[in-house]
Order: sequence, then structure tokens, then C-alpha cells
Amino acid sequence: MTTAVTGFASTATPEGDMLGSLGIDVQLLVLQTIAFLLLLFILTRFVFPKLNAMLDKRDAAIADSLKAASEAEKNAAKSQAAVEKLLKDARRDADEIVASAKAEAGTLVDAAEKKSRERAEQIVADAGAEIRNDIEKARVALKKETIELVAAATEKVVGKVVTAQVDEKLIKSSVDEVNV
Amino acid sequence: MKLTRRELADYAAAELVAGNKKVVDELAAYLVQSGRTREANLVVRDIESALARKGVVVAHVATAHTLDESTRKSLRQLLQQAFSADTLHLQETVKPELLGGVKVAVADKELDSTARRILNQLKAVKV
Repeated sequence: MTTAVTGFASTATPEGDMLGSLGIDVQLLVLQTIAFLLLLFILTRFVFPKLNAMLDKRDAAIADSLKAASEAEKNAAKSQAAVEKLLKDARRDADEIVASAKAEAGTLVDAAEKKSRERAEQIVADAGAEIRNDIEKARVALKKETIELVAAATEKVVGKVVTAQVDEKLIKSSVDEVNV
Repeated sequence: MKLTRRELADYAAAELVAGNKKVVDELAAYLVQSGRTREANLVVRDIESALARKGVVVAHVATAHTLDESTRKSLRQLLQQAFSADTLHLQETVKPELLGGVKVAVADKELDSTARRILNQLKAVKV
């Protein structure tokens, strides 16, 4: 192609001698201009639209990304606020739960103390009653034993004291009492 | 036919009052034959009751010492008065464990003035 352009330039008219004196090859200039225009046409017709479309697409993508980033930032801010609100609520709930648990524990401790105190009092009362019962039983047993001892002693004494003569008097006395 | 205890007692008492002492053997034989020997003591007591109603009193007297005559006489007088007895039979028993006093049983009645009874009462006192 270079050979063809050079050949075409060598067939140029003599008017081009002025430009040739300036060192400008007219033919070459025309050819280069045509080549430039051709290149420009090709670029404008086929490359630039695609390039522009690609750039527009990229621009839109960047814009979308920026928008998404902005929204994400907003969402993040919202999320942060929501999280803070949740944390605050959770903290407040936790405080309430702790306070409620403390109050309930206090109530339970009071109830347990009261129950223990009542149980202790009941145990003391039962022990007292049992002791009194044991004392009463011992007293009764002692009385019974004493009576049995007295009866046994009386039996021995009476057996020795009541002779036939004394017995006769006793029997007569009994008979007299019945007669009366 | 099975005779009641009351009928047996009335019959035996009537025969005894009439002087028929064989009735005791007959009665014993009847009780053995009819398989009622377990009722013997009750029949004897019923006979004594029947005899008492006919003026014949059998008194069981238990003492710790043998009775002397004067005491026995006093006792007889008491029992004859108490039961309006025409005839009184004393069956005396000596039981030293009675310690003193006298215990008299006539039919289903009993007089107990023994020291043993008083001691038993003392032992039975509820504390």
C-alpha cells in the first residue's frame, strides 16, 4: 500500500511544486487526509458508538454502584440506628429482667426464711409437746409402779400382821357392817 | 327333747329338798349323756338359786384362816337373815392368798370383804 501511495504521489501536478518546496508532499497529504478521514469514519461508525456505549454502560454501572453504595451507607446508618435501638431495648429489658429477678429472689428468700422460721418453731413446739408427753408418761408409770410397790409391801405386811385372831375380828366387823 | 338349764335346776332342787340325793348322780349322768358337761358349773349355780328360792341356801365361804365357831355363828345368822333361809349350808374354803376378811358367794350373789380385794382395787386404780 505504501508503494501505491508513493506511486500516486509521483504522478501529481506541477502546482504541487510550491507545497513541495515547503517539503510537503501533496499526494501524500491527500492520501493521509483520506486515510485519516477513512479512519475517522471507521472509528465514528463502528468503534466510537461501541466505545461510547461501553463507557455509558460503565458510567451507568459506576453511577449504580455509587447509588448502591449510598443506599448501602444509608441502610448501614439505618441498621446502625436499629441496632442501637435494639441494643438499648435489650439493655432496658435486661435491666428489667435483672430487677424483676432480684425482686423475685428477694421474695423467695423472704418466703424461705419465713417457712424455715415457722418450721423451726413447729419443731420446737413438737419437741416441747413430746417432752411434756414423755414426762406425763413417766409420771404415770412412776405412780403405777409406786402403787404396785405399795400393794406388794402392804400384801407382805398384811400377810404377817393379820393373824387368825385379827382375821376373826375383821370378819366379824364385816358381818356387823352388813347387818347394820 | 333337750331340757333347759332352768328346768334341770328346778327339778334337781325339788328332788334335793325332798331328800333325794341320788338326783345329783342322775343329773351328772344326763349332762354326760347329752354332751353338756361344759354347763355343769352353770347348772350347779342354777340349782343353788333354785334351792335359795325354796329356802335352802348354799353359801360358799372363803377365808384366809379357818373360821372359829363364834364367827361362823355370826355369819350363819347374817346369811339366814339376808336370804330368809330355812336351811343354810356353809361350804368353807381356806385360801391364804385372801390375806384376811371373808368372801361369801350365794348363787349369783357375792360379798367380798377380803384384804385381797382391796389390794386388787388399789392395783387397778387408774393413774
